[in-house]
Amino acid sequence: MIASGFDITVCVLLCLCALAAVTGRDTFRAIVFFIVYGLLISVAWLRIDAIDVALAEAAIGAGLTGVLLLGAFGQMGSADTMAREPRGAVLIALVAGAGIGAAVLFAVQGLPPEGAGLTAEVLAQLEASGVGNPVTAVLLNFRGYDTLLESIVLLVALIGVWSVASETGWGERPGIVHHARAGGTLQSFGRFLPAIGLVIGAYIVWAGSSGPGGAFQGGTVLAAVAILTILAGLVDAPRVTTRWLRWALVMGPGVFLGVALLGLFGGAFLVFPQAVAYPAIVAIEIVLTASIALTLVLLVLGPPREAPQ
Amino acid sequence: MGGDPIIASWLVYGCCGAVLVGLGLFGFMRPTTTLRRVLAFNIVGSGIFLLFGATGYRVPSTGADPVPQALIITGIVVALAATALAVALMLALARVSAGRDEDA
Amino acid sequence: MSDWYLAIGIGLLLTLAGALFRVWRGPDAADRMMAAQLTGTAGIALVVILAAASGDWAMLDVGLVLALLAALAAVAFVKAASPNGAGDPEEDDLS
Repeated sequence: MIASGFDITVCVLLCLCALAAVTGRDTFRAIVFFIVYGLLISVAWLRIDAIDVALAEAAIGAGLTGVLLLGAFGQMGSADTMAREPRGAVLIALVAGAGIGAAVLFAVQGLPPEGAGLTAEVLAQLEASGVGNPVTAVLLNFRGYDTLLESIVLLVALIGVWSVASETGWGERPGIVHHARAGGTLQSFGRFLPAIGLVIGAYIVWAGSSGPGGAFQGGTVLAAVAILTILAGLVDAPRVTTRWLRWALVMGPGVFLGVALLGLFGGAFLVFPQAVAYPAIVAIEIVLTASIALTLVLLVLGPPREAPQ
Repeated sequence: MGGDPIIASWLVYGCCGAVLVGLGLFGFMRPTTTLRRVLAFNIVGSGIFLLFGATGYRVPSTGADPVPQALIITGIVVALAATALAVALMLALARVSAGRDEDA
Repeated sequence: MSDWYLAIGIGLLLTLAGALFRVWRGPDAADRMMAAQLTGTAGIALVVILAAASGDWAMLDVGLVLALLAALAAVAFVKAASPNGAGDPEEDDLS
């Protein structure tokens, strides 16, 4: 009974945050509610035993989404005007939202409570995957092509972001060049936190082979602390034409693809023989972490732009 | 105290996901600014993730289904990439519109 | 035992709801941001409570990540408040 009370309270607060984020005129308030919403979603994931997802959500929600949206808000200012909408648009939105929400709700409550799922199949093959965490086994072995394609999607998104650079901005540093008072609060914070963040990020990647964690979660933590050092004006983001940067970005998907092709000798594309599965997965995870972290940093910073004179 | 839950956790969070999808769609379609639409799009996405993850937890004794979990982690990262792309397009649009207003 | 932890968790959620009220009311942007930071603290406590309730201590890693990154939103807020989003309000003391 208490457990249900807890779950229902979490869900009510989640829905209130979402409601506050989509209503009202104040955009800043909506963003702050969305940040709190991300926190509550992590708690919800823990309640349905999805610790790996909770880690990813916590790292992305707390570390990156807030920075991305608040940065966009700061740069847009009052430029973000409302498009002219036909009369009754609110009513149509209300009917569509309520209708689709109700339809999905109806579908959810009608699901059979004993859904089999794939847990048994995954656990039966876990031995062969080379790792002890079933989620990592699915991500990097059983459904490795998902993760391979995802790392490529991240690169494509980055190319998309870079391609909206202004004509004079190309070849410059991505995002704004930040500065802060020397020895001030922001700079001290930017020096202090990354040391801890590096340890925690590396720990989460390493822990991923046996428990909750992995390349995405660890990479996000590393990306977040890297963004902090840039926001604090301690490090300038590298120019987008830098050669090492390009190599580092394609290294993750590249190594993954290479190992996948080697699998052809063992039978098929993306097949890891059991004997080498563990070292192969750990090697892919480490390289992938570096590429993911770098790609996420550049995605959040935005397109390159000319430094103000 | 306590006893059996009145309602299974997966059902609570699954229904919550459905409500979030509805709320997000409303926020996406109502007259509002571009940044708010990007935000609403993220709420729809996380509602779908929550719904999907909750259906993977219908038999708590075997733990959460790892396959939806892996797909959701992939989805969360792709949603962030899409958000970053949307924000970049939005800022570029604002820059171009501002330039056009000056010319006019 | 797990029920006791969850009862404490409900209490924590109620304190979080109190902070949500402040996010809604404001009145200043800084008030909203401070309240969001407060919900971050409550969120970390919730994660610790849930880890104790389920006995799965791997959940503590989520609290670790939240504690590490919670302040990043505040940094982004300070940045967004400075002119053209590049500076640091402390710099104004000098110039």
